[in-house]
Amino acid sequence: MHQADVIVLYNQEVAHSCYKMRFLSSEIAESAKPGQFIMIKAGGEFGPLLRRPLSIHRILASEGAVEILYKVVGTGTRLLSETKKGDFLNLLGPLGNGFKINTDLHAAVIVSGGIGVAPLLFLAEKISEKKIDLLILLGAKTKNDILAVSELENLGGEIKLATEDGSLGCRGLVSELLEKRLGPPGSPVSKIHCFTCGPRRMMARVAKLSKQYKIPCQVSLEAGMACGIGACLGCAVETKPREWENYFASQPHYQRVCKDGPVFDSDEVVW
Amino acid sequence: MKKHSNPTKERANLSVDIAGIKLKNPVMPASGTFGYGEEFGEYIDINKLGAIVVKGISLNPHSGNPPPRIVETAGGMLNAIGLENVGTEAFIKKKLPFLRKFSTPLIVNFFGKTPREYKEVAKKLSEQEEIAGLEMNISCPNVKEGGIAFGIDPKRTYKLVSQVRQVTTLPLLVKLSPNVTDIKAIALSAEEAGADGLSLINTITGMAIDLDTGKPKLHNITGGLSGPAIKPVALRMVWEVSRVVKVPLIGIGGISTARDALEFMVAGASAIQVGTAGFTNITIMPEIIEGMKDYLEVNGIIDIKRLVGSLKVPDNPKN
Repeated sequence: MHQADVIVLYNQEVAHSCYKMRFLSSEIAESAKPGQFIMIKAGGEFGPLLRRPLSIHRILASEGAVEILYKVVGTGTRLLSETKKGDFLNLLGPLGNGFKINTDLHAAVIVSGGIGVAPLLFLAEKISEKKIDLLILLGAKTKNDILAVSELENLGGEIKLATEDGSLGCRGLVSELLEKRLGPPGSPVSKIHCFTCGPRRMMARVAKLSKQYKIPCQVSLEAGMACGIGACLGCAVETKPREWENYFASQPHYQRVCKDGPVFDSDEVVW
Repeated sequence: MKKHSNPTKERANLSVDIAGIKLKNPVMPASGTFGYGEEFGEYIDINKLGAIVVKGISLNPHSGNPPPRIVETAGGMLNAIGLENVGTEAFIKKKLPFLRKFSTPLIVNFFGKTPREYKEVAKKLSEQEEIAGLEMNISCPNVKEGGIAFGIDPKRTYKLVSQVRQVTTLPLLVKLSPNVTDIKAIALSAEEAGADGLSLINTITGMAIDLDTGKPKLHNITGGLSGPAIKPVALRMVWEVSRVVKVPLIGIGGISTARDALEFMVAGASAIQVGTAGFTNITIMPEIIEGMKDYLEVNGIIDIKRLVGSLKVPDNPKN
C-alpha cells in the first residue's frame, strides 16, 4: 500500500461520459491484484473533500502503468475527467482484498454490467494467463454503454453481449444470458466459477442464479467511502453472520466494503 | 504572540500534559476516525503520535446503522455510523494487544445506554493497565443510546459524570456535543462533576437530501457533520469554554493543517484531535506534528505550552 502523487499518461473519453485514465505507478503495477481499488483525490485543493474509490482496470506491467475506467457521475469524477496528460494526482492503493482465483479452477464465467467491467478486464487477463476456460458475458443498457470489448476480445475467449434495448447483442439482461448458458436447472455444471460486477440488482440476480446452480460466485461491491482502509466504518454492507460472530445475533451484521471487500462471496451478502 | 529569535535553533518542545497524561506532542486522532489503531498502524508510525484514541466502546457489541452511513457535503461530510463497535470484552481481548505495543498513551473512548452501563464499561476499562485515560462520549448525535440525552442537559451531565467519576481513578475526559444552546453550561457541569479534561467538539447534526429521489442521503436521515466546514464553530466553542473552565481542553473540529491545530491551541486547547482530514491523507498527523514544530521554531517559540490560550482580544474587557 502506497500514498503518492502519480503522473497521468492518458485520460480520454472512451464512450459517452466514460473515461479511461492511465497513470504511472510501478508500486501499484507490481503489487495489485484483480478486484483491488485505489482512492484518488480529484480536483486539487478545492476539489471534493474525500477521495474517490475506483477499481483497477488494467496493469501495464512493462511500463509500470495502471489504468482505471470510470464513469462521470458527480463532481469528483467530473473533475477527474478534466485531468490532462502530465497532471499529477494523489492516490492511495492498492486497497481491498481482490478476487480469489482457485488453483483448481477449470472454467470461469465473468458477468459484467455497464461500468462494472472496470475491475473485470484485469481479472479476465489474469484468468486467461492461467489457461482457464473463460466465458465473458457483457451487458449494458445500450450499445454505447458496452465498454472494453476490444481489450476483452484480445484475450481470445468467448464473449456474449446483451443490451436492454437490443442495440447490440441479445436484447435483455446479462443475467438472462447467464441463465441460458447454464441450461435448465439441474444441468451438470462442474467446477465453474462466476465473477461479477455491475449494478446491485444485476449482481443480485447473478448471485441468485449461482446459488440455484451451486456455482461459487464472487461479487465486487461498490460503496461510498471516506477512508478506504477500514477505519471509518462508512462503507458498510449487510452480510450474513459467520458462526463465531453469533454474538451479533439480534442485530444485523455488517462488513466493510473497503477492507473486508470489495470482493465478497455472493452467499455472504444480504441482497 | 510575541516573536523571539531562536539563535540556538533548538527543537521546540511540543510535549503537553492533559489531566496527568504526558503526551510527546498535542496531536491525536479523533475517536471514530482511527478505528482501533490497527487500520492506520500499517501506514503511519503510531509512536509519533501524542496519543491514540480508539473508536467508542460500549458494554455490548453494536452493529451500527444500515447503509448509507456517510455522505460528502461542501467542505465536509456527514456520518451516521451508529457507534458500531466490538464491545468491551472483545476490545480488551482482541484489540488491546495490538495497542499495547506502542509507547504512545492510549485513550479509550466509551459510551453506554444507561448510567449503569457507562459505569460498568469505565470500571472494566480501568482495570486494564495499558489504558492511560478515558474519554467519555456524552455526545453522539446518531443513536439515542450514544449519550446525547445526557450531553445536552447540564444537570444530567453532572449526574452521569459524577457517577462515572466514582468508579475510575484514570484521567477522565468528557467529549462534548456542539448541538446545545450553551456549551459553557455543559462544560461547567462536567468539570464540577470531576472531569479532568474536556474534548470538544463532536460532530454537528445535519442532513443531506437527494433532490432527484426526494429521499435523505443517509439511512439514518440525519448525521454528524465533520471536516473543514465545522472548524470556525469548533474554534468558537473551544474559546468560549476555555474562558469558563480550569481543566485542560482538547480541541476538535475540521483540523487539517498545522496552522489549524495551532489556532485551536491559541483559542485555549492544550491538545488537539484530527479526524476527517486523516481520511483524505493517511499521513496527516505526522505532517501536522512536523508542521507545528516548524512553525514554532520559525517564530522562536520554544515551548508550545506558551501558545495555549494566548488569544489576543484587545477590546474585550473580559480579556
